[in-house]
Amino acid sequence: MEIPEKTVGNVGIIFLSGRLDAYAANEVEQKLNLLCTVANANVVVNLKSLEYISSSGLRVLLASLKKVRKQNGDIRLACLQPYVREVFDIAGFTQLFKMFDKEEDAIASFKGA
Amino acid sequence: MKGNCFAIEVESKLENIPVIGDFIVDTLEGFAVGQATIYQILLAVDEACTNVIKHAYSGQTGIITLTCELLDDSLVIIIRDRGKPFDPRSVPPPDLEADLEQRKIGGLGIYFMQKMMDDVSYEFSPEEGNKLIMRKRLTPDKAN
Repeated sequence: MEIPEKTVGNVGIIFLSGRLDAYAANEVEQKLNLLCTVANANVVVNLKSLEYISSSGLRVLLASLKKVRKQNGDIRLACLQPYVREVFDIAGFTQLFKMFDKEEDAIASFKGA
Repeated sequence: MKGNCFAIEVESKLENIPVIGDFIVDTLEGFAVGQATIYQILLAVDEACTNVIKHAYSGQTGIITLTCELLDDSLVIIIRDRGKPFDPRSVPPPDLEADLEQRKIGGLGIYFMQKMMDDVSYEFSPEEGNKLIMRKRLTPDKAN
């Protein structure tokens, strides 16, 4: 999976696409590890182009969320497609992550946080 | 696409999970299954095959055989491997209510399989190895 990224102010944004299965999860984990090891990391994961996520993908996101919150940072999710959102709901992950319909809202949510 | 039973055989490597995924999507599109249902079945198969790779074969190389058959109004998927006996139903269900600190990293795979499919059964024999059978009824909505 190609994982483009950009920065807006002090927020790092990465873009996931296609299928986040057990194979792609390794790459995503490495990318998130790079972003989340700094203190106060503000990360937005844009899922607009992600068509599918398995438990391996959820596992990676959860592990990164635990890490980043221990260091006073956060990972927030934007633009979930309906089916991906459904998987989050079934897994009980909706309560764990802050989610936004638009990327700009996710970025703005870090202001003053 | 003619015929109603298709099969694939791959080595038990994580890089073949997308290959299996493509096979499932192509087969189900050929059966005119709706997109939402395709993703549900894809998730169940993904989880099952990932379990085989990680647990039945424990990262060692083996063969996974997957068949996908349309029988009347049901889809039957059978996943076979010759790894060590591994009944995915033996994995305890995840605690979906746990907060972030308490939430365990794993345990969702079998839960998804059972949620996405109507029936999940497992057999093991020394002659045939592990055999996981998953069924899903296809209603007119699901068949799109």
